[in-house]
Amino acid sequence: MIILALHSAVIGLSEAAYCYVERGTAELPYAVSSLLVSSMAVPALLLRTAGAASLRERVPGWATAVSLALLCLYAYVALYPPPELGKMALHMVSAAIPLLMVASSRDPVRVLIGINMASSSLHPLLTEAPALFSFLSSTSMLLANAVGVLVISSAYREYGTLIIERWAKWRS
Amino acid sequence: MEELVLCLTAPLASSAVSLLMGRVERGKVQQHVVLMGGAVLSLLASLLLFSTASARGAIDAPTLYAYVEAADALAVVAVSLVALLASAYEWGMSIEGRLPAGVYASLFLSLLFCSIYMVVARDAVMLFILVEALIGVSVALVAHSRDTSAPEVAFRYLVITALSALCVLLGAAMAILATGTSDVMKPPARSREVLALATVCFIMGLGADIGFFPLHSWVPDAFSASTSTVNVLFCAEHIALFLALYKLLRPASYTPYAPAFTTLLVVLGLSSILFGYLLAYSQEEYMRLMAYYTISDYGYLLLLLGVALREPVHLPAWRMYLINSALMEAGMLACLGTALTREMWGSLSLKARRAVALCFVICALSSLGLPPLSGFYAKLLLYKAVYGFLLKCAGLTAATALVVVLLLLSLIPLALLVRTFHDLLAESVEERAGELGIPRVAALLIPPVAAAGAALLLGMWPQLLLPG
Repeated sequence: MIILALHSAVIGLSEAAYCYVERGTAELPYAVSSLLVSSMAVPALLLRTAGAASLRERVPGWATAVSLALLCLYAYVALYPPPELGKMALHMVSAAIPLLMVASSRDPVRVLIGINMASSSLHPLLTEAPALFSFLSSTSMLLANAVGVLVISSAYREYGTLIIERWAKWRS
Repeated sequence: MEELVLCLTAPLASSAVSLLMGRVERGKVQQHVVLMGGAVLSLLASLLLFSTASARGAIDAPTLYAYVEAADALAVVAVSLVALLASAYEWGMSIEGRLPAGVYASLFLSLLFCSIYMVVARDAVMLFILVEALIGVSVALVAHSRDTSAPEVAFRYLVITALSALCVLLGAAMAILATGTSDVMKPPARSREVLALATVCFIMGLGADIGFFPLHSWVPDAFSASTSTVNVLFCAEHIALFLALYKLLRPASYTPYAPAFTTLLVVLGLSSILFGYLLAYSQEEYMRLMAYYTISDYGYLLLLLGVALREPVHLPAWRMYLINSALMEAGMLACLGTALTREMWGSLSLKARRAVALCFVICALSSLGLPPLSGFYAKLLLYKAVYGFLLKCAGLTAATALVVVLLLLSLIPLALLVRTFHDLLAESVEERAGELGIPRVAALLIPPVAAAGAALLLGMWPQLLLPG
């Protein structure tokens, strides 16, 4: 959770820097690289602690597909940028990387954190929406997290393990 | 606007009351009263909303990011009705779950609130927020079941739908960046390419939430693991999710990419119908069979939505099919839920069991589109729309061939549902010592009888589902 908070803080600060730089001097590459490094470093760290073997053992097709689709979208935006999508590219690549972690992790807590990281990466895109939506969006995200914790704790009580593969054998 | 506020406040306030009552009072009876009271209040408020919207033509509430036409208000009535039936059914079933009674009742009413708001919302970001909240509530309700597989299924459901919410968020962000507004009622003036990309995100995101082919992987397991009350309640959620999908797709219908989206929806719809029917055929378990049958029904909705996107004159038919299919599926799921809870089924008198089986067959035949039931008109309008559209686009041969193929495919679920009806009647279950008391039997019979009654009533007066 500390990592998640750190990730969100970095994205928030980078966003602030992005806005500041966009209006002031043209030092955008610094903000961009800092956000990119944080987005890649944190998931890489988590992947490392999850165990390298798990990446090959469990890569659900759908999560990988979503992640790769985001990366393709990023590539498209980078190569043929429609002017409106310019500022989205970074967020998309920032969201795609935690999603790869979601696809590869066997630990439900890490999966939940990965989804949160991806969501945090995309939320700054709503800065142009009314302020009320930020509050409501945070509330709904909080609810989804609370439910995630409830489900994981129920699963742990029911199956006695936090390894996702071992849950499947209980399926009726 | 007051009617709309009332309509949104009724389930939300009831949800808060049940949560508070759960903290101070642990009685299940009181929770049932709050649950049913909240659902009844919502239904009354939605009827008021419907009468006002019908009289005025539409209610615009920009402060609530909502816009309600008479057809939307009718969908709100249907959502509230399904929730009321589910709450009555819950009283009859009265099965302990993992969640405390107060939390469960609160989540139940929160789902009703999110569904109602989703039907009336006119803002893409608001729809994303409601989708995210709805996911949270739905996953918790799936996890409520005592079934051993429920936590695993709930977690998978959470991950898939959370990713789908990300797609909706991405789509909403693209729509704002492209058009400068998140209002889905306004036709886009610029950046139509970006709006087309946003629409793809919406189809992927809401497609996974709804569960049509090929984004359906969680549906059969969720049907199988959830309690039957939750399965009945999810029929209300489907109305809201499909209407949200339509609203998010509507801006794209003004762009040059509209024909491409129609083709995409028609292909997805036909794939869902074929896939759902073929896999339903091989299912041994009733709830999984219903899950695949539901996926095929989503296919019909997608098919008609694709046509209606190009020819909005068919939208009333689409809405009619949506409401009718939700009501009939709620009825069928309630019948099967009672039969599957074997101790409950064994405690029912033979007369009550026959009544359940009869209601099941009426709902099933209506869902398949047999006259003189409500589904007949819904299916007739669907075939008429699809045939007319294909006649213009692909010619007489293709249009006739598709309609004939669809009619032939309908024989598969007919055989399946008749077999299920036979099982319901013929299944011998040991009678238990104590039969269920009259109030609980009555509560269990309310949803099947109401759905079967609606099939007969709306079959006689189908115009009730076609406001305006």
